[in-house]
Amino acid sequence: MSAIVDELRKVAAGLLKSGAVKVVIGYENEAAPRPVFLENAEDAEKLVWNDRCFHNLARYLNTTEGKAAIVAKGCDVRAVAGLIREGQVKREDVVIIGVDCAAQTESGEKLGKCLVCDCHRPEIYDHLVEDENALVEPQTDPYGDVSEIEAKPVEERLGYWLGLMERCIRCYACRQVCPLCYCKECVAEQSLPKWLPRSPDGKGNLFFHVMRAHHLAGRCVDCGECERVCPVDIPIRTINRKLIRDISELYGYKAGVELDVVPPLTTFKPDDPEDAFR
Amino acid sequence: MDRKLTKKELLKLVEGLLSDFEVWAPAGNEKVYSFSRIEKPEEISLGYRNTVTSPKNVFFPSGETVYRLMEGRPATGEASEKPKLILGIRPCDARAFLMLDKVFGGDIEDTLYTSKRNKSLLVGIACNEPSSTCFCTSVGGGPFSTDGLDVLMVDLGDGSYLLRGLNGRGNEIISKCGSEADKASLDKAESLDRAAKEKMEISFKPPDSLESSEEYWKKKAMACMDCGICAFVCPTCHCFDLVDEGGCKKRIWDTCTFPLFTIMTSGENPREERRDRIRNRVYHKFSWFRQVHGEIACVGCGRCIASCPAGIDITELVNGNNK
Amino acid sequence: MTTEFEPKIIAFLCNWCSYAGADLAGVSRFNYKPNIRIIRVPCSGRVSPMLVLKSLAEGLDGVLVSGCHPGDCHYAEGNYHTRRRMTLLKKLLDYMGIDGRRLQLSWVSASEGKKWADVVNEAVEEVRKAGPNPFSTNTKGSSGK
Repeated sequence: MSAIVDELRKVAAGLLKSGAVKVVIGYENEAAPRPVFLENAEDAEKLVWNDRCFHNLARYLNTTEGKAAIVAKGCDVRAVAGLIREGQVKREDVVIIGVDCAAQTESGEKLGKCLVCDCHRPEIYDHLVEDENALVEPQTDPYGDVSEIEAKPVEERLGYWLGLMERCIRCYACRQVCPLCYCKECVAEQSLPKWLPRSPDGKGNLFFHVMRAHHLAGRCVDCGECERVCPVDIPIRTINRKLIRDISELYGYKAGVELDVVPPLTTFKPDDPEDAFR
Repeated sequence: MDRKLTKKELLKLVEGLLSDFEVWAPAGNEKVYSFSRIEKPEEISLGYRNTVTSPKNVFFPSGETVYRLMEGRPATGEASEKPKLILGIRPCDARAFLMLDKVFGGDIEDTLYTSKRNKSLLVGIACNEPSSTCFCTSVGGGPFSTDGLDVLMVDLGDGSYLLRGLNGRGNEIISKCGSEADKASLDKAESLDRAAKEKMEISFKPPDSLESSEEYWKKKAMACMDCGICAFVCPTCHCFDLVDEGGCKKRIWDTCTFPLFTIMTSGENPREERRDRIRNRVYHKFSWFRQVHGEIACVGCGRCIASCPAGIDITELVNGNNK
Repeated sequence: MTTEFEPKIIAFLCNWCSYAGADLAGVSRFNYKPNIRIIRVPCSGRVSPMLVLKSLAEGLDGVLVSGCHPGDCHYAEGNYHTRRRMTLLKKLLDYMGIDGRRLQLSWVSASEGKKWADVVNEAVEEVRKAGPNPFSTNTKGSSGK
């Protein structure tokens, strides 16, 4: 039993016993961790923590009833911050149990998002489960994948994306797993007006993903859940990260880091760059 | 009829089939996502365990034109001239088509489906190595099941294949290739069958009546995120929606796990709660389909378990608190 | 016989500046290319990115969004929001291979009839370079006529 799991269980049991929260959202099942919702202090023993706790549990914050405590990695905490910033959850209604996380791994390899992670220690938390070994430096060029695609000529880019998009089956898992995609009715499914094709062909899927990325502009925290859940392995993160980089370069903003900074697409500066305009 | 073929002879057989059939097979070198249309025999990949999505898209595509509004005519009967042949389909997926046949080919025939399905041939490949999520033996199938197949191939492991014709049409296509299977090959196939069944990690007997309490389903459904992965990778899920697009009426896959699936024009949604949606999906497969058609509408391919982003396991849902 | 590709472009013009600018171009009898179809909107800030995406998904070759110069918005700050939103959308479209040139952006005031004519001519040439919309259901590309 690692000290981390021990501490997690202690914190969770304490919160449930004192009645400070109604539910603790964490991970269960050591072999293949999955979300679990604990309501009794005795159940805290179910909690686990390892390098396969992929799920961003922030997704469940606005679907559970009552005050909730959430086990969160650095990237997950950014999503919680986003939800608080956008008024989906009240800060006082969520207890963040932050966990230091070196990386999540799939078949022994670190996930792409973890290689470039700069938030091994959560930035916002109520309880912090520390792990000094987790605080490692990011390894690679954070936007290498984006630059690689940008370097292609435009026709090649279209071919590249269409080739991937033709695999998409529109299960909408990318949207459903996203903590920031909380709209009750998505424009992808609106019929009056009908904004986009719903047919799962290359074109319909491409426009769906463009739309989704743009709706997440300045909000996406790069938790990588969309890409993890995609059954047909479309590199969805790479789309979102294009905008993350552009927004950071143009407007100097990073999502989910501070609770009191206005998101970039709901504000402006009089001297914003306008090279795109005639 | 049992024939034994080398890999080379198999490729030659496929080449011959290409002139008479529209051949669909798992293709590609990387992860195999789906069954796609094959132009050359070398494209086929038979080393996969199971494709991410099921082959149902061959007869029931994820998006399909139903009616051409601008021309005022239905789009039925536009299937290609050649009959379809699915090569390398797993026994579980072949059984699934027998279930889809009951749905689309029942009293009211769905000609979009049947026009593709009729005259089609299914050449299956037996599962020597079931995945950890497979449970076909628990729902009436098996890794070497021949239900719904015309030919069953067995990878004998030494670079050769045993091909078993299961009916007249199946025998016809394999009659001229390879050599008569010897006793050793037949024995080998039998022992592979036994070994595969033993390797099956999940085994249970589906209960006659499922858990019905609201509390149970609420708890089980907590982690569900309302995506459509389970239904879209499922070989037996067959619900669809109709949309108007590009001057056509099209049908696209839909699923009861989507919150908007049951929403009505008035805004009323009879399955607004997540627990009701999950329960509906499991009940449809393990209870209602059984009542109507006499069998469980789940073939145990395990795709939904493997792909569920929240780690929900349908066998746990079915077995309830008994497990 | 081959004819040159004539792009079809939809233009969203703000009521207070660009639409009046286009009007002035007409009154002043400036010639400009006939490839655009104008839709008047209260403010360029009214132009949701969804309008741009829908236009492209429906097969139009280009979209032009034009509003008041920054600082002159009738609603004080609508066009500042347009500026951020559309800049990012243009980059994203380019990245996804749809070609950023299909989204043309400009500031045209009510007194800039000449500029309006120039903006349209330049926009048409840019979209022409991007070529016919690959998603047009008309495989020959949409004609400008």
